[in-house]
Amino acid sequence: MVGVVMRGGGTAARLALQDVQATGGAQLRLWVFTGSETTSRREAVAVAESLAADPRVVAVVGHTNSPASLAASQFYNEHRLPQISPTATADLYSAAGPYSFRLVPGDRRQAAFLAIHVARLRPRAQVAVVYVNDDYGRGLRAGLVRSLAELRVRLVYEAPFLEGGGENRELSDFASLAEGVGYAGADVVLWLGRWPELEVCLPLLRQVSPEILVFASDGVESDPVFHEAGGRFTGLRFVRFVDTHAEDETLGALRRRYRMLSGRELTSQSLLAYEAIRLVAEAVRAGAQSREAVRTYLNSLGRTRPPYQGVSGAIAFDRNGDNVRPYELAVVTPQGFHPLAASQ
Amino acid sequence: MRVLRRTHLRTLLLAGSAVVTLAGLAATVGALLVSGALLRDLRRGTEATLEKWARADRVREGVYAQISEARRHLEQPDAWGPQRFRRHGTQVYEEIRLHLFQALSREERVQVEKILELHERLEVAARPAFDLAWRGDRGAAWMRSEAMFRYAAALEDATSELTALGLKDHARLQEDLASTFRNVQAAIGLLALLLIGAFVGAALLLMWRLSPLAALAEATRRLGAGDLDVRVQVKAEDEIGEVARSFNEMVASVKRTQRDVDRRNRQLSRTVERLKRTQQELVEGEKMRAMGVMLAGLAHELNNPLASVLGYAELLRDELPALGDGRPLELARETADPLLAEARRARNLVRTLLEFSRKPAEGPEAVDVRPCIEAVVALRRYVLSQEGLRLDVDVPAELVVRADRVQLQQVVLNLVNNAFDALRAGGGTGVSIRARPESARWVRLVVEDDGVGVAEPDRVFDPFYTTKPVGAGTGLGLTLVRRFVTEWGGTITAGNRPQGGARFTIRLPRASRQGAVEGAGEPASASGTGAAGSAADAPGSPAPASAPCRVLVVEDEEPLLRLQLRLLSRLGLQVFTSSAAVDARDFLAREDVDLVISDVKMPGELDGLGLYRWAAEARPELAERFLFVSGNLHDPAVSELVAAAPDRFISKPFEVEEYLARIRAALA
Repeated sequence: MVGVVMRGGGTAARLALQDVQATGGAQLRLWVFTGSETTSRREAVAVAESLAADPRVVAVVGHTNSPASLAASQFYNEHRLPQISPTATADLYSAAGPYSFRLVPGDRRQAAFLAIHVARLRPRAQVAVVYVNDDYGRGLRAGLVRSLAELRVRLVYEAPFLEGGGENRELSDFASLAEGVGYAGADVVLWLGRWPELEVCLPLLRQVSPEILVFASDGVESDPVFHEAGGRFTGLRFVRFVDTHAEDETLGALRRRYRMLSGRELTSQSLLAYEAIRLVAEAVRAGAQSREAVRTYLNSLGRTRPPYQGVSGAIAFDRNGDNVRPYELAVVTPQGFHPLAASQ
Repeated sequence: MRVLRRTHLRTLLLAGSAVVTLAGLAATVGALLVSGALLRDLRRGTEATLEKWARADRVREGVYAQISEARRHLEQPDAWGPQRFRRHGTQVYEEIRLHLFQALSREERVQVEKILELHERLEVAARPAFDLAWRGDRGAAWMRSEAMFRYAAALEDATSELTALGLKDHARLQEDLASTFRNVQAAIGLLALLLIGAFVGAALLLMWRLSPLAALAEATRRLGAGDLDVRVQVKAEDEIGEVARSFNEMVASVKRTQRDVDRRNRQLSRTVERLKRTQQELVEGEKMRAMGVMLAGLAHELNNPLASVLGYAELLRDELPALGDGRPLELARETADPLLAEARRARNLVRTLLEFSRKPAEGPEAVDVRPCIEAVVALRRYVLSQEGLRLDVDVPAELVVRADRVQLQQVVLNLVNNAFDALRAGGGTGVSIRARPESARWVRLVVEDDGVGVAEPDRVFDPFYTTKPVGAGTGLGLTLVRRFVTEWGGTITAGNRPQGGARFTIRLPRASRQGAVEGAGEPASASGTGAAGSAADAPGSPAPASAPCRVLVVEDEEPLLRLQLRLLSRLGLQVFTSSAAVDARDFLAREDVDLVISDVKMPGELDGLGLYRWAAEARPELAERFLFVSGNLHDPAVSELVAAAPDRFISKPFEVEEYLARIRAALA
């Protein structure tokens, strides 16, 4: 059995299961969680405890974000349960333990990538960094501030915020935040967070400065952003891991199937969740019937075994359990996501 | 139960000991391991708890620093205030996040996430206040900062709760460890009780099963002390019972063997006693034999010169008077008489010694006592009567004993002679000889006198012991008497009569009338101490009137040869002499003689007996004409011939008249 703790992971899980069965793979059962436990740290701990205590679970795919993934990782490592996080990018995750794997590199690379493109586009930019004050945003922010300083890009304002509604939304006070950005004279905003808050803050920022240029981290890639949500995200430049609209037959078929099942666009997160489930299935098919065997299989990729050839590309893990894959900088257009640049 | 009884005790004890030992070892090792693990857990838990406290303190310090910075910025805003605030915040974040890699309970992890959330909110809440302060609206800034301080306070509480959770966790760990330790203590206590129970049980079992061993040990000790009647009462069917039964069998066997050994020891003791007596007798006999051999040799050597001395003494005595007046006669009496007397005495001594050294007779025979005693009486009655002494005899007829006839006469004669000597010297009236049957097996013969008695009755039978003056006795007479009596199987004792006088008591074994003894025949010429010599012809008897007989004298001793030549010349014989038997043989091969007078033992390849044997083969007629002159008629080499033809032997030293008489008889 495989635990899947991902927001939107239900569709990815179903698609993965279908494809595993279609190829005659191992008999796999999925235990899927798609609620707040995928993102909340406290709830992530509870889910991790139950998954780790169940001896039938040989691997976990999740959680959705870095804070939840980090909070749960200690339970998984204590119980020797392999965890594959599709999109947790916090640098700290690399030190979570030998049973923690992820399909994306750490935030330091992303921060450098963003800083470079900001510097290229606006060498004399006055940058405001707005970041979600959690493991994800803090890590990105620290890297970004360092990279901007190295590139001599002027940082004029920094503002943390919190995700979620209620008290968090109140505390974040995006209106005053946008005022602060404007007061600081920033012409570039680096948004280090996810799309729901950006959707609230972006119009406020444009009110303060219509020409303001917004770069975002990978957290904003989502179906609503893809469909532009009324054009508010047009011109938004963001980082993604996979061009899910690339010219690829397999990817195209998967994208179409995903859209049919969920009514949404396939994002990097969904795709990498699918990849992670297929990877565990492959480990089971190769004879890994236990947690330790799954971990051994994952460590062997790129060493004693060739990398796993997923839809998104080759997958192999370095000694920190990270799969180093390239980034892409894309822009939101009325036609969808358009690639701008890619990392090496 | 039978199976249990037969179970090898040793196996049981070994197995039991092994189990108990292993259990003890296992318990000890287990206790040590558990104690070690508990200590390690406690140490680690304590260290972790202390680390958590330290981290919580650092979080608080970081938050305090942030709040302090915030206050400062609110009071005096500067461009770097927020940056410093964020730097402190990063430190707090990193400190909180270090909990990620610690061993935390579920509650602690939840609390850490809560602390993190509160810190995140604190920082977010500070931003608007900082913005307002930077814009100069300090009042509004302070108002907006209220949320920040609230979150700081909540953060302080949450941190304290985390510490409390750590303490609770530590307390729980201590309680768990204490509980585990109590369980271990209980287990060890239970095991100790089990071990004690096992020991007590084993001890009882051993006592029960080994008390037979104690009985066996006691029985073994008593056996070692010599108690052969000890037995072990054990009814067990196991190996201890087998050992006990084997022990009992062994003791019984030892007892039987002991009895057997005792019996054999007694037999052996008796045999040893007999052997000792026999050995003593053999030693004595050997001594006597050796002495006899020595004496025989000595006697033989003495006889030759004595024969010369005696012969010449007689010649001297006889021929001296013929030389003239009475002075030679007086000289003959004064010198030749003592010379003759001494020579005779020496001859008697030698004869006694030869008698002493003589091998015992073939064996005793049935002898009538009365005729033997009558023969002795006939010999000595006249002498005694001449001294005025009595000789009383009281011996019944046909009282037959087991003895040697001649020796019995000698015995009685010796005793009578001793009594006569004692009476003559010390006074007394006479000697009595009495014989009576003592029992169906024994005869008692008593010779006693009323003289001075025996001075040392225990020594009278010792060789050469004598109370007589020098020259009056040899000291061997009673020794010979005891020897003869002992050889017949009898005993002799010497003592004194209560009324005074000596008493010799002889016990002789009775015999049947087979081979009844003849009367007192003439004693053998070669035995008989002090016996009168045979009647001799008067000295100077004339020779036969026919043609002179031819006589060959063979003698290696030159003096004896000349003596015989001189003596034979008195008989008017033609005498040829030869000092070697070989020469005599050569002569006899050519010549004929009427008589050969030959010494027996001569040096060279041929002696007298050899000459005789040659003659018996080569000149049988001549063998009838042999006469031997010998110094030892008891010599085994001649004893057979002496027994067969005693008349052919003249004993050296001889008296002249005796010699001449024998020559005349042989030529006749």
